[in-house]
Amino acid sequence: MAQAKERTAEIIALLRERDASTLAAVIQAHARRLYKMSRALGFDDHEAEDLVQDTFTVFLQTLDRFEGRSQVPTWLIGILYRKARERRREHVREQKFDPIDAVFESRFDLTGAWQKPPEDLERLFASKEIRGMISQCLNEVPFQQREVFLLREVEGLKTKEICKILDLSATHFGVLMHRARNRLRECLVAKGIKRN
Amino acid sequence: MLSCRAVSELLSKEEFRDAPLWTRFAVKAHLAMCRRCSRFARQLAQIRSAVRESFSQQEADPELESRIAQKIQHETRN
Repeated sequence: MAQAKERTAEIIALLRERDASTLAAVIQAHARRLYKMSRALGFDDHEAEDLVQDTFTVFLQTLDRFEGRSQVPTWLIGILYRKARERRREHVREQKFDPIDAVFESRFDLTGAWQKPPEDLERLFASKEIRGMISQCLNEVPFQQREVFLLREVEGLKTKEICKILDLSATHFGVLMHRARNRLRECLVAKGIKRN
Repeated sequence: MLSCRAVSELLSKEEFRDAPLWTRFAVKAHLAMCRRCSRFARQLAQIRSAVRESFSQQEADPELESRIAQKIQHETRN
């Protein structure tokens, strides 16, 4: 742990001096992951590449603020998400009402038991079409819910890290995850019914 | 006794992870007995793997890193 911290400090010092090979190594290590994240957020290949480039530019400009409290990847992801919001001009505010909440509630009776068993999606998940369906359903997930969902489910970040990056409370994180997951599930259920 | 609704919400909100020990135990016990909720839990896990797989297969141009490095170096020189 201490060694990793020292190594990070060394990399940051070299980047402050704009050491070309260190910069190339950092780009080599993180650009592809950031690119895939941008694509997952719904940007096309050109926009995604621009976004990654912007992220590294801001990273270099803000090196003095990087005090080693977070790791380089988390710092980069934070910048990428802020830039992504700027590009999408997303005004991130809490959505008090989301129709998916009523859909979730409608699945249960007054005692809190399932009205009917959740649909069987086994065949759908085993099919070749699942990849396309996932991507279509993800497009229906509002931007902020998608951000949270991807950071958790694809990037595997911890709740604490996600809350820090997106400036969320743990409760709000839970609400967004719940809505994203249920929206995806309901979308796949609808596609599964259509397919059969 | 937790209801199916409460269990499903705890699972999809992930509150279950940080919940007190007795809640975690109650969720596990419920899942062991309830086929409907265990199907719901399984679907959340399947969605996770399908999304991960879908993005792991995402192609990126092999020249991506070198192009970005060149642009950034050009920017920093100016």
